[in-house]
Formats: sequence, structure tokens, C-alpha cells
Amino acid sequence: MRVNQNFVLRKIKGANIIVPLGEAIKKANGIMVLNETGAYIFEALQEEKDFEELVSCIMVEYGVPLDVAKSDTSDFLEELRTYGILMEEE
Amino acid sequence: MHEERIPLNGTFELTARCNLKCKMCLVRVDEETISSLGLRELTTKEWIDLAKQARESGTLQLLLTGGEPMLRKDFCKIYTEIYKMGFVIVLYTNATLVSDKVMDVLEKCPPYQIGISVYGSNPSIYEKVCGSGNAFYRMVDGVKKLTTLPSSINIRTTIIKDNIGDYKNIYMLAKSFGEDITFSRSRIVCRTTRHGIADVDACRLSPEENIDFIYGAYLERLSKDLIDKYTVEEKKSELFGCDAGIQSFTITWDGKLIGCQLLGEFMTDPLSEGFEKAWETFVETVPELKQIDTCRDCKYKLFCMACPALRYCETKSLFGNPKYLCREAEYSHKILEKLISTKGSEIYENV
Repeated sequence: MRVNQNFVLRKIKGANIIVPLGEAIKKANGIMVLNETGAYIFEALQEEKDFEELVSCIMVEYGVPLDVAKSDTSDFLEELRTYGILMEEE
Repeated sequence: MHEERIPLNGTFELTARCNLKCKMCLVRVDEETISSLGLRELTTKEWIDLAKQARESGTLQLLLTGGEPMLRKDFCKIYTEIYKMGFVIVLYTNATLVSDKVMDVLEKCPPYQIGISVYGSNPSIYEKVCGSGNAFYRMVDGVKKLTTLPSSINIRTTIIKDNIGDYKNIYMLAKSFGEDITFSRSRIVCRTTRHGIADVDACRLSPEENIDFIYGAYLERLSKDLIDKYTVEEKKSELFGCDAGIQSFTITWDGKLIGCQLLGEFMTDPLSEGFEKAWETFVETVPELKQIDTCRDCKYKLFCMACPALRYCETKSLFGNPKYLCREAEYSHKILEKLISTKGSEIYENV
């Protein structure tokens, strides 16, 4: 999985803002503001990664245990799916 | 000391030129005037560079306007390059130049919002207001194309003597383009600024006609507007008392950074000093606002819609008395008094 390239992350004075472009403006319904972890995941998913790889990255970056990393990542990915930000192979 | 300033909302006036000659246009300057003034519009590269710099400085929303931006031969190039930078793009157009090439670009890169100016419901009104009857057909064709995009569409009109009788038809026409289309009208037609060539005084409604038009049968709205005006959190008196120069800016067609499109002074030069520095030093160009003596004791001040930029437009001074707005305020007072006499003073309760 990776993020849809029609979404651009803008960092403006400490805020992480996702701007949908192109066809994405239909589904996204405006800009989104991410927290630091969300922005980290968004940037990590500029390249193709599977769920386990992403969870490992988060454990290393934030020093959190496996179950916490899995649960938080899973929730956030679900949110990305809702807005069409995540691209996954069938 | 100013609160933290971030240039979040930008306006790029890509050109001063327009294919229409609307009698009330705030901005339009023709090619001869531009040359005779020794001025020039920015190049493709200059607009793209400025957008990159504005992005670095924190600009999120960017309005691309004119004149008519699609009149520029390099519109598609500028638009595409700027779009890729990740702005929330708003595009203003008269919709008469929506070529297949433009549509190809907009389909790939749809703006968030397109503001389309529509000034009449038939060719005869377009001839009177915009100097071209055929432009009406081109506008209709253009709007139909633009409404196929996923962008939100706002149809905007401005009412002058020549189209006031057509207002309801303009509204109906706008709504006929689609259920989701929003419709808005200018609150006031201002005198031109920055070498604009329109003779606004000759075409705009009188102040009294304008208030009648704006509030029409909805006199209650006037009292509500006043309530809104006096219940909003008191604005800070920094710069112009609004977001201009604090969170928003305009780059004029000739490349100057100003507070808003109404202004014609108090500017910096992002082309020579770079956007970031031009934004930083902008505050130094703006004189401190002061209470205007003749306004302090005005009995109609509750009804006054003047802001520093409107004062500037009307009088070429931030501190001038904009007679048009003074007459509007006096007339608003008069009709509200009439309203009170029929409805009682309860409309003042929350003021």
C-alpha cells in the first residue's frame, strides 16, 4: 500500500495539512490536518509498504510496543481509506 | 508588535487585461494603458517562482484571478505548474474563454472552487454591461463545461444600472446551471484602483438604490447585519483591522505585494526582494490607523460599512470620507427607522 499521489502534505508553521488535488477533491471534501504521527505515516507511505513494515517503522520511530503500534496504525489507515488517500492492491 | 503573520491566503492577479469591457470592473487595464504607464505584467516564470516562494512561506489557499486569467496565452502553463505545488486553488473567470485546451488542464487539475462572473441573462444585457453580446453565448457554453468538473461552482454577479432589472433572471440562469451551484452578488461597486479604466461613477447604482437593492424586501436583514457587526469579537486594530497583511495578501498584475485588491498603495516588491522579505516588510508600509475625526461623532456610524480599503478605493486615502458609503449609512438609518416604526424597537434588542 501507499498514499494516493493526488494528496500532498503541506507543513505550514508546525501544522501538517493534507491537500487533495485532481480527482481527489471530490471524495476528500476539503483539507485534513494530521498530527505528527499521522504525518510520519503519510510520508512513510510515499513508497510502497505492507502493514508489517509500516508497524515496524512506527515502533522504531516512536519506541512503542507492537500491540500499540498495530492498533494505532490500523485505526489511522482506516481513516486514510475513508478519504481515498490509501492505495492498496486488490 | 503584530500578532504572528502567516500568508495563508493569497491572490494572484495574473493579468489586468480582459476580453470583456465591464463598465464596473475594479481591476481592468488595457494593453495601451499598461504600456503608456511603463508597466508590465509578470512573465510565466515570475508567476511560477512567486508561487514557489509563497508556498515556502506558508500560503495554503491561492486565488487565481485577473482581469481574465484565461486571456493569458500561458494560462495553462502557469496554472498547471502552480496546481502541482499543492495549493487549495480557487479560480475566478468570466467563463468566455474556456477552450478545449483549458478544459483538458482543468479536468486533470480541477480547482477547489471556480467563481464565475455572470452579469446578464441575455446578449442584450451583456452588450450593455460587458460590451459584447456574443460573450453571453460564450459564457453559457463555458459555464456548461466548467460545471462538469468536480469543483464547487460559485456564480457571482455585480449589479449596476444596466442590469438591475435583469437581476432575477440572472439568478434563475445561475440556478439553471446546476443544483449545487452557489450564487452571490457584490455588496458594493467600488471605484477602480491601480490604473483601472472603468468609469464606475457613471454606471453604479446610487447609494440609496444600492441599499434598496441589497436589502430589498428584506429590511430585517439590515438589522441582522448590524447585530452581526456588533456582536463579532472586537477586531484588533492592527494594519487594516482585518486579515489583509496578517493572513492574506495579493500580488498585483504588475508584481507588487499589497494587502487586498482594493488597495493601490502600501506595497512591497517581491520580484526584487523575494516573497518572504516582501511579506515581512509589508507591515512597515502601512500607516497606523487612526480614528477619523469626521467619523467619530457621526450619528450614522452604526450603519457604516467603510473599511480602510473601501475608504482608499473611494477617496484614494485610508482616512478619507467615502461619500458613497456615508450616503448608504444615512439611508440605512432612515429605512431602519421606518422599520422600527412598523415593527417596534425589538429589532434593536440584541444590538
